Amino acid sequence: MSAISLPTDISRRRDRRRGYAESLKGWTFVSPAALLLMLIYLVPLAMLLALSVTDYQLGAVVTGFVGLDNFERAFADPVFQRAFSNTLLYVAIVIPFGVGLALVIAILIHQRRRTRSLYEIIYFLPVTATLVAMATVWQFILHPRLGPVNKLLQTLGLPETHFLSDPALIVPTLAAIGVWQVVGFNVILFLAGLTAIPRELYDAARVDGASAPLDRFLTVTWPQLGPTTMFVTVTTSITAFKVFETVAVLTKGQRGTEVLLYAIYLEGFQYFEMGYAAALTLVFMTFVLLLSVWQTFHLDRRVHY
Amino acid sequence: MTLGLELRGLDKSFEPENPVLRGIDLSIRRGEFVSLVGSSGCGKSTLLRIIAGLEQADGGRVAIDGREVTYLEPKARRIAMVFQSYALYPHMTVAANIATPLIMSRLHFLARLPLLGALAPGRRQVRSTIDRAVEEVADQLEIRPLLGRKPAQLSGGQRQRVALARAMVRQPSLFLMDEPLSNLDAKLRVHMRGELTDLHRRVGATFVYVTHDQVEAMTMSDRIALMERGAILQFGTPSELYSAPANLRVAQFIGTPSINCFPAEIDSAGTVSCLGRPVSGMVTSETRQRASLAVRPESIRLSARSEDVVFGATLRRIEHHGSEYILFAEPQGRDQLVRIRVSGAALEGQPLAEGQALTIAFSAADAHLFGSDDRRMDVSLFDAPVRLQSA
Repeated sequence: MSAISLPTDISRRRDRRRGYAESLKGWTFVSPAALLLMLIYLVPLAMLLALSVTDYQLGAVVTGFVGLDNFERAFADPVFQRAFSNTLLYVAIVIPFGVGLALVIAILIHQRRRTRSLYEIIYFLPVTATLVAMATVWQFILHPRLGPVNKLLQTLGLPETHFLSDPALIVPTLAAIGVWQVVGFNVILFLAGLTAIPRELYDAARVDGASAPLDRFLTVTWPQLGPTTMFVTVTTSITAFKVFETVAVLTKGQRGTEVLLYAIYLEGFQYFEMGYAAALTLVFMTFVLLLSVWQTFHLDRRVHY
Repeated sequence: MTLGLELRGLDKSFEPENPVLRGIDLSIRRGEFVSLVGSSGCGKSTLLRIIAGLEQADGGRVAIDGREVTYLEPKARRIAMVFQSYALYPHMTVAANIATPLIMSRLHFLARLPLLGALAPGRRQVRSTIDRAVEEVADQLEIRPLLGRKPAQLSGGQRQRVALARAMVRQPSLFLMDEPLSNLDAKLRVHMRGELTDLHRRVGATFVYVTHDQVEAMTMSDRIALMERGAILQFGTPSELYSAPANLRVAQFIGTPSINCFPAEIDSAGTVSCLGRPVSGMVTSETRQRASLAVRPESIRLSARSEDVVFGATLRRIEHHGSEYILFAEPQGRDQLVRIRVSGAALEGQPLAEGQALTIAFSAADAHLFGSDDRRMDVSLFDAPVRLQSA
């Protein structure tokens, strides 16, 4: 028996040694990416988690553990609640218009041959422009007395409108600027999606009798754009949730126009309540994550690849 | 008798200096299976798209079943088309794919709307007749079990059948097919050839079939229109194209292995000579020009008769094709390989080796004479002794 067991024993040991060498090689290959991933994403996230259960203030000497107090405070805080509902309203306007308008524009541009790239550039300009700088332009455009929009309204016999100071209008106005900013990028994405639709499908639809524009859209374009639409919707909603610049420049959160990111910014960098701001950030991240996951899975079931 | 499809003087060019179609005339009988054959870029697909109404011709007329349709939309032409990529709607089930043409033609616009449509009066009755029609067609093509699947879950051959079913379901008078078999593997392609022929016989509609594969055209068609550079070189039955090609390029396109071409001259008396030797018994009315003499591989023999055109050659290569052999021989002093088709039985007891010297021969009766403009020339054939006496 021993004569037989001896060689297998040796070979097993050799196998194990080779296994260690193999796994060491594997870890070596993985480590640069793993290390970067840790440093860039996981460590900051862990720090955020740690901060959110403390009362740490920027520059404070003593910091204490406060458990879930920060979260309790957040959900009872009227400012945070207002920021939450304002953000939801903002997102609810930006998603349908930012996606729908982009789709319509993309379809219109797609049929242009020579002027297509010109339109692409025009619609893409707001994406390249800095929103902070452009916000000041919007401030002028929407100014109650000096702005061209109000001039236009006056010539139409409508009353002077305070877009950026009437509490009922501020969030929709900010959302309109948000749509303006996001549409160009979405147009480019939709154009890419439209270009990928095979011509023969449109030919087949025409032969089958789907030659009217709406029939063609419902039979070929819309179903074929499914994956693009899903991607555009998810990215647009994330962008919308992160609204900050326009609020910071145009309203500074006055007249009840706080949005989530602005509220976090105030807590963290104006009042130096880092612990509380970390808790708010965590709530914000969880919410955006849940929404994105829901959108992806909900839309994924209706999308054909 | 009304024609299934009539084309008169169709012109089309995408760039002004480079016409795609040049004055196409074609009359196809009702119920005929016609192939448009040609190498890529000859304009056959563009012609098919003009017949379908997907493309508008610059000039000329299209009539289907005696009805002028030149300016009508595809859906108004009572046609169906099968595309090379099948062009199935990937988000729809097989059943929905097949039903689409009927839904478009039988349901009112409002009744087709995604949600509102359900409220439209009479929609359910129409839908049930459509469903029955879909099932009927699915039974004919034996794809009933696939009706609930999506195109992505089907094999190439199954997709092909679904595309055919979608074409058949509204019973068009004209079927247009754009290389429908080219995406299938070789074995399935041969099988589908037979099925398409059966289908044509069963349906009885006019078929216009575009292909670059001359074997498909030869095996399936009642008549073939061979196209080159936007013009039809010859329109005729497969055997006409094979045995009496109207043009050297037709002769070269049809037949595998392809026809052998030899340079020939015609003297002032109309006597034809090939490779410096007079072709006994061949005289043409046209005189003094360079010409080509074309001979099918199976018309070349390894044994000479007295009246034959004979020359020595070296055997370069032998291809075994089971029941027959294709020999490639190089005539002495010429940089050309002559293709010779011989049956296995003819070679029995006569072993051949590469590099061996051969005597190859053909008779004037088997040769086609084409003029310098590639057009077929009329020849008079005499028996060699007669010609010798008259000379």
